[in-house]
Amino acid sequence: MDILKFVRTQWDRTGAVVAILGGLLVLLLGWLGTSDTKYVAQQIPYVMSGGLLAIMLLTIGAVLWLSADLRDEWRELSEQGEVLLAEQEARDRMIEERVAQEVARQLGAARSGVSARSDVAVHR
Amino acid sequence: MVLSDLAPGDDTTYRSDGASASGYRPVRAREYLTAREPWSARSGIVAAALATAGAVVVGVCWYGGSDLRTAEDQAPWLIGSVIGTAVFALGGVLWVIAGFRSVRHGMRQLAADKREFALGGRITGSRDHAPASGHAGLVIASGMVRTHRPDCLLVLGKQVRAVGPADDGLEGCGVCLP
Repeated sequence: MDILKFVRTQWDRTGAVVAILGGLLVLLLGWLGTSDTKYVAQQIPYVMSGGLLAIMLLTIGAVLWLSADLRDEWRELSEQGEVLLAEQEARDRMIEERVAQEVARQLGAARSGVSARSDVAVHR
Repeated sequence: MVLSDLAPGDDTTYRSDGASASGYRPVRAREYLTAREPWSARSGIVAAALATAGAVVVGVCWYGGSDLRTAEDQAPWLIGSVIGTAVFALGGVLWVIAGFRSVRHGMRQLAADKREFALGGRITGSRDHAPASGHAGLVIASGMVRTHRPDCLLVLGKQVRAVGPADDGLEGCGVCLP
């Protein structure tokens, strides 16, 4: 499977990986930016822009990945439900066929009985 | 707002029903057969609103606090941005919880339906988003060798046509599983 098709079909997992990698990158950049500063007042903007942004990106990644798993679960449930409905339809058809066969058999028996009685009447 | 408002089948309960073969049946329609995704529109709106609000708060706090020279002045903005991050994360958590709740209810519904079917009962459900049997509802684009559901990701944005008798023998897509 080529990469573009994979990205299109697994967009949520691709987004999750991108967001997590982005979060780690932002975290690293924030650390690099703040590690050489001496004053807390210089570090706090890096915490807000680097650290918290990284947390947000990691949250996005986690949510996207879990959403992909939940979508897979939901699709599986839907498929199992459709299989169940298909089995029910097959069972309904089988019951209808059996009922039709039984009706035909009883009708045939009734007709042959009438015919036999007719024969008896003729012979009498 | 409570969590039960977020997922499509959240308030699904099971009750004893004399007409049911297994004794239980879902009160609400079977979401796992009718809904495309485990999330309702409302859960998406709530999650998106919280995430957007949190991101805006973080942005505003970063903008407000970055020009200040003392840590004492920056502290309120830092606290605000932490709160914004928490609100942002809350949106994601609610989204995931809503999805888990729907899937859990779907599993319960499916288990109840299987029990019902095994005991000879009937399952009343509609496959609103599923195509009918055969080729009905399936599409294909030029150059493709597999049939797809109309909402399949592999045909989105492409010029498609309905699958007809001439396409007999083509396999179904491995992604949308028509």
